[in-house]
Amino acid sequence: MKKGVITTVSFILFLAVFSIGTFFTEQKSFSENENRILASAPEINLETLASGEAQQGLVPFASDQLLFRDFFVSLKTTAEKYSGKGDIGGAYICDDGYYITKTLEEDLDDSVLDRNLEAVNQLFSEGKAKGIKNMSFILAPTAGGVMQDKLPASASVFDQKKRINEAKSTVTSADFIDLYDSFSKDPDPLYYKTDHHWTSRGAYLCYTLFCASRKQEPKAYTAETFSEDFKGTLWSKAPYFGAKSDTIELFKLKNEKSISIYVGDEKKDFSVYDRTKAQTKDKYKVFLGDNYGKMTIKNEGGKGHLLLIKDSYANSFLPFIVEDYETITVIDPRYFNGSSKQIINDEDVTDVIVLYNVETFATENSVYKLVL
Amino acid sequence: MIFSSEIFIFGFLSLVLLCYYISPRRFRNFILLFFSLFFFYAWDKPSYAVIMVGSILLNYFGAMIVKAFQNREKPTSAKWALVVIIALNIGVLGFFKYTDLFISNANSLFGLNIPLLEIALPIGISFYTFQTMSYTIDVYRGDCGLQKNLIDFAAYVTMFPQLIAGPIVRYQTIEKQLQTRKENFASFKSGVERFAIGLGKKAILANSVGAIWNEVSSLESPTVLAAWIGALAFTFQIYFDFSGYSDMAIGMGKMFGFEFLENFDLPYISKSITEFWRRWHISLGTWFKEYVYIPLGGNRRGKGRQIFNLLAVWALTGFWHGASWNYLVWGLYFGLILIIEKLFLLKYLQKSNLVARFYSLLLIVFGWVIFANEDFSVMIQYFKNLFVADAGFMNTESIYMLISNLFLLIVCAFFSTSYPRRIGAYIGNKLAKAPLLLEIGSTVLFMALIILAVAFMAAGTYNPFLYFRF
Repeated sequence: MKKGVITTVSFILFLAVFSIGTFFTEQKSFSENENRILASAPEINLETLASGEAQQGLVPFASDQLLFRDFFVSLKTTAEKYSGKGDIGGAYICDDGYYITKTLEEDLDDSVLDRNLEAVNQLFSEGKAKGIKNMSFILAPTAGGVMQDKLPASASVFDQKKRINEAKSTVTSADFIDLYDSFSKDPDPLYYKTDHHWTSRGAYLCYTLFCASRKQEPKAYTAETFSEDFKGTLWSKAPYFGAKSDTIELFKLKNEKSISIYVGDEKKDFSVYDRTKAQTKDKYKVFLGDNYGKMTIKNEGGKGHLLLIKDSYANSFLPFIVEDYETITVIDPRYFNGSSKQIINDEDVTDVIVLYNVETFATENSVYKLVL
Repeated sequence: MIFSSEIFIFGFLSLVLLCYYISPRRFRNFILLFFSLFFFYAWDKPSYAVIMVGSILLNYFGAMIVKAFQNREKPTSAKWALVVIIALNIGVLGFFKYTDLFISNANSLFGLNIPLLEIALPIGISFYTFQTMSYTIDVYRGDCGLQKNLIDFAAYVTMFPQLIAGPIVRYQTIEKQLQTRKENFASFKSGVERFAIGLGKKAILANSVGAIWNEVSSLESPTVLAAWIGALAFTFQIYFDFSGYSDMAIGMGKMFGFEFLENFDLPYISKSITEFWRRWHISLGTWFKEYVYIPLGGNRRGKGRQIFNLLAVWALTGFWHGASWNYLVWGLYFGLILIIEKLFLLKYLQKSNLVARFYSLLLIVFGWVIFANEDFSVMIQYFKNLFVADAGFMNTESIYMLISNLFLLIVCAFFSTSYPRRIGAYIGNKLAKAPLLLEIGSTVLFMALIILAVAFMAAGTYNPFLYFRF
């Protein structure tokens, strides 16, 4: 065989397969793994060619439509992981298959935390003025706050304990429920490995501490396994071959069917758990289906009206208390432009809970909307 | 288009290779010209293709005029024609590249307020201007024949492998190849392997260390450790990016049957700065030697004149790299070191390889610090940080940066040495009696390298194009 034929043919085949596979096969519009919209082919006409617009559009188009793109992304991440790279895609690659979000001290602007604490304080003061007795403020630590031993060598994260303590001393018009010490004891089962959320067991531990503050008996933990194949947000940005999957458990409600969820006027066809999410990649959305600005939950067997101000952590906490209340108004200030202070004034609210994870609370710019 | 991109490899290169090899031999130069000019060159700013065409025509006809004068035994006219053409070439380059620099300096010196022209630099203009000028000068000197075929000449100038980032291919190198090259499997294989190496250097190594440099240079107050990691990262980035691009250029040249000259030869193993400049960006050094240093008299007009010639060449070399004064300083920095070495230091360096290598690397890295910082106050602060930093010698963040990237830096260091090629030669020798096994093995290895490089390309968010100022 002539010298060079094998290499030449291999390379040409490689080019042929990938150019046809990238440009002439069905275009993908959304990447489940990367959780983003993929670039589509740009408009190609004389005008866009002359201005360079067509060309500029072709670059991300070719990259996003690359044949076997997911494989290539995983290959790179795997190579980087095994070369000792400490963080990929914004998360530390830690022991035991854990990903921990890389948020450093310098990434935080403490004026944001102060502003948010003030808004929350104001909201609770409003509640106090209206005579609402049951008000709780819960700031949950994330994995980065309680699992520092799993971090790679010399890796650092921002000081969550400090911020939780600051919140505790600033917000005095409600019950501050401190989770930090309890969560530090045995944090492993409390957080997902591949996602930035806490597990149902983590949410349950929070629930037991919440009950303790209200002098109530917590319900027992009984759960069904929803999925053993969950790969979350942190995995999406750094998928490596052999990454461990997470298990999602769903707390067994007494009578799931008696709960109705409304977003605006639309009644959702699931109650509390959207089990259709099992077929999708973002399985955490089984809890409430998604994050909506305002959600109303009705349950005939319950008592009282709870106002719950939250980020996505509360989605897996809600099942533990959902059957206790007749009405729950769930507000996520990221998507809700109304005033929660207004809700306290206008409606017959008997309970207020503000539940956030400390990382979101210390960086989120939408909390001021609560007291508009 | 950046070479290390999906659109280039699976879009452009695939298409060109297809069209090239299905065309009869006599159309192949035109195919190269067509794709190079319309797809590759006109990619970013289509209107600038006009400048490229202008440059081609200027030198095509200019060389003819020079030759015509010489044939009619009018050497003075020929000389003046050459001067005009060179002036026009440099004028175009100067206008697009250096006008704003001079305007802003005139503004600060004379207190004027002339608005900047803010012209976008036509891509590759520094490379192709030098390339076309070399043709005209060589015709004048009789070092190469006149190229009467405009297609062939234009193909030489626009050839996409080396158009944007070199090597600067002198016309005489490929004069014969334009008409008599014979594409074959062996050359193509050699080209694939070279291309793979270049792509690996750029997508895997350069982009990764580039991200480190990016991080360090945006730190407000780096520790001494961080500053050194950053300097080292940039040192590796510029080598692997630039030599990787040259490797891809040479590799793709081979795929089309062309043999370009080497542009980098393991510059970081040098035992002196003199040696470094024989291993780094060889085509540029050759160009300046042939067309500036030697015409100025080189070393044949006494020591004093030689020193002047060297300083002139190095000032120009530095300045060629960018329209900013730090590049001039960088060039003169090396110019001075070279003069000192030539005058007496080389003898001492020969006494110890270890000392010589350490000395060279240290000066090279310092050179890159000058090169990497266009702002002088930032540059000076960076030099300070290499020895005494406000943030101290090290902290958790910089230790983390070191540990996290240690393997990558070691790999970069390894591929800066001659060990990879020695290992390759060793294996080649051992398997010389089993050529089939050798070829299958090397195919697997190089295809795996390409696949890994494509992975880094696909997932990478950091894929800078360092040659926008050329």
